[in-house]
Amino acid sequence: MTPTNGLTDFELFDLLKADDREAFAEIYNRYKFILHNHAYKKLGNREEAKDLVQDVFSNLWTKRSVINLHSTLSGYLYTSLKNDILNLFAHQEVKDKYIVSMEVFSRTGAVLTDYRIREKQFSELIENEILALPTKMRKVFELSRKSHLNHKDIAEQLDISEKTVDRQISNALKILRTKLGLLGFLIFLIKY
Amino acid sequence: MQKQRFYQLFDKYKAGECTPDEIAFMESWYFTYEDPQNEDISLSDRKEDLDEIWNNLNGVPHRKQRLIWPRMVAAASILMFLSIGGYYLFHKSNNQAQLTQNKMDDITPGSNKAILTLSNGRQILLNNSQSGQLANQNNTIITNTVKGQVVYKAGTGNADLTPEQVLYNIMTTPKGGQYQVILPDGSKVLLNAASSLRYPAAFTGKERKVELTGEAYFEVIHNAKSPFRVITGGQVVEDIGTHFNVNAYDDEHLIKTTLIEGSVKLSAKDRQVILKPGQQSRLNVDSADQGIKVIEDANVEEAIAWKNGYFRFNNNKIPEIMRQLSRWYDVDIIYKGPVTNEGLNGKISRFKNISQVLQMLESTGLVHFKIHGKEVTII
Repeated sequence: MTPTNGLTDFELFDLLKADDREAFAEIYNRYKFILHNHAYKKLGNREEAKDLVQDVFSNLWTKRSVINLHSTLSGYLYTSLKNDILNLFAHQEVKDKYIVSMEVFSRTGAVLTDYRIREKQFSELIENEILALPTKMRKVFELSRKSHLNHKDIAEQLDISEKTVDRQISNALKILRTKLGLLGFLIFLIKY
Repeated sequence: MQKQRFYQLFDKYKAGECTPDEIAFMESWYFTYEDPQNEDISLSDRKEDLDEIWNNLNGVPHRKQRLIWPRMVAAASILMFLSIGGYYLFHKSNNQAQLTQNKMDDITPGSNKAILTLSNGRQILLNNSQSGQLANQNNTIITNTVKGQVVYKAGTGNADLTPEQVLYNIMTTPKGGQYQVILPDGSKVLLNAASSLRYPAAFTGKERKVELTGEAYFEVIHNAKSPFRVITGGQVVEDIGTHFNVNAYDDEHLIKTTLIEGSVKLSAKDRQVILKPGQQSRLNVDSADQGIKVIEDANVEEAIAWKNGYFRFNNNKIPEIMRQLSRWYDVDIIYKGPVTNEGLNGKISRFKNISQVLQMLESTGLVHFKIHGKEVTII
């Protein structure tokens, strides 16, 4: 356990601005799974997902003195990752798979014209999905996500086997992935 | 029509010229998009990747590995500035500079990495860390080995393919990358940084044709019935059993073909020359009509130094040297001060950090550098 553990994102961000590596580590541990999960889902490629998640965090560290949060730290991280991924798409030499998907979207999907709504929806989407997990699974996931606990520590704390922890987190991520895709789509349909 | 519009949208996005409406469309689409090929990765793989990211982030600010798109955040590297030769800077250090010194980063050399594009457009990132079978194209098994090498193993029935059935692959190295490919006929090609090679997954018919941009070293397995041809910017090199190097970077304006062993026939426009070992041909891309010039007693060591892991400068002018460094260290070169027209000489491992190479060049007293993020400025 580290002293950064119980801090809010805003407090962590202030510490980050004061060059605190511990705070940086805590932010990484809070958001690594969810950002990586998202990147991999969009990219379908481990190397690229790894690269982009690394970029988001290395930018957070190198630019910490000039970053101003417009909303929340999580929103900032999600937006950075989204921008990086879209940039990667744009620079990809072969874009056929995106084009096909865009054609489908342009027929059935709806465009959210207000960028604040887009950002908010996007953040909520990701956050809600964690709340929507079954209690036990969520607990494991959050212990792993929101603290430095490794799977062995989590297993001890919840009095379950390490294997169960592994499986729970794996399931949690799987659910996140499938739900996020479908839900994202549904929200567009409901909204408009 | 519609399709074309989406392609243009990406181009505009890349150029930062999208209207708010267009961005709204892109981002709204993005929320619904999911990569069709993504397969489940195990939790242990995930953890491995996340640990690797953390290791890279730990300590000094991480050197970014932007492989596919140009770097955009050089401005972010305020803390990474480094001055070589200008040692007075260290004496001016205040508290801020003290802080930054701990975070100072040199620029590390290139390494084995490339992108393999299969005939269906699928792109595979290649580096030292993964190995194993990548794909099967035309019955040819494609494997990545950990040595920075992709091997094409020809399968049965390759010879029966019609030209229309042959699938083409492209290997592309980014700046700061090199990679080796062993083609289905056993010929070896080592690709230098910022280069690309297009080749068939199976060789059929009367010739083995590959297309090159950038620089590569070839070790061709001779086959009189099916000559090996390298096409590059208006020049064709045809082997007669052989080891040779082709340097054809767009920004060099000169295609240099250097023969180490064997014999090659070159043609450009409608002229032909045959090279002997130790000779180098030069074709000026901008004035190809002047024909191919042959250097009888070429500096072979210089031409293939890169393949042997060296930079070898032999009376080279600064701009040419800097283009080489830019490609291998993935840096941008900025000219602020006057540049000498004198040629420089020297030899240094290209697996050293850039500061050591620059120091060597500075020791001539003819040129001075400053490194700032991923920019090298000549002061």
